Amino acid sequence: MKRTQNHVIDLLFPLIILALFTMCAFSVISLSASIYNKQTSNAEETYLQETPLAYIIEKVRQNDNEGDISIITKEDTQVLTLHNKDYTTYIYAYENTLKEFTIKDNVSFTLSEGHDIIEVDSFSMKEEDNLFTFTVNDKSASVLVRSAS
Amino acid sequence: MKKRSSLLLVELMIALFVFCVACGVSLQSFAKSSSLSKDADDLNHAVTIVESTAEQLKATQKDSISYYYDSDWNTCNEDEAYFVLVLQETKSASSLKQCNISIFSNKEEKTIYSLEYEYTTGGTSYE
Repeated sequence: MKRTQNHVIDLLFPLIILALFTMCAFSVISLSASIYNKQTSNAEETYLQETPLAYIIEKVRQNDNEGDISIITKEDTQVLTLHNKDYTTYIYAYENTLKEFTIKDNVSFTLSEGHDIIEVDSFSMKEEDNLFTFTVNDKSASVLVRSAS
Repeated sequence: MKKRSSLLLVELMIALFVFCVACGVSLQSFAKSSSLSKDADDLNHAVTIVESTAEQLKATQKDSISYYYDSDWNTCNEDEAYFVLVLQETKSASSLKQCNISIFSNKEEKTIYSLEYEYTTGGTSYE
């Protein structure tokens, strides 16, 4: 009977294949994790930019009557004012949060009293010839008020 | 011993083959999802820019319109442009103007978003 001879490669080769398999498995898992991470952060970034812009523009269009929309400065902060009959809605960024406050005219309030809408890193606005431009987290959107003459 | 060893090897090879097939399918899906996500992001930016441009046109502030954008949608020079805003006036009556506002991707050579827009000059009525 012929005697079978053992070689190191008999053990080594399956081990190499196993190591290759493990490496590939880890690569695919880490790749999928990084893609998922990128997509969720993209979705969050889009949400944080789009939502406040869409909200503010919708608010401006809702209150689009002549002279009812303006930008004022209160406590060194830009505040968008939307006047509606006896009430005024103030929209502004305070401590990295977009806030809204609706209150009867001529009643004083502080910026900290507003209701939170959404978190924002930066928020600015400008008005030029009735064209309002809002910038939230480096993304801008413009809206021309209907009441412009 | 040799028989057992070769059986293990065959088993590993089969597992590796199945893994490779699954890996190929998964990677294809990952690449597609990544590309879809980028397209959705670009479309989002394009819609916002086109709508803002329409408002700027209506406000007759053509000078403040930005035409060139880099891959991160920041304004840039013509040479570095990845996305280009194209304004085409299609019809013009006395005060009513009709134009097409679109965002074109230089790299992919395709239009990302296009809007047919009518506006009046000398007035800013929506009617």
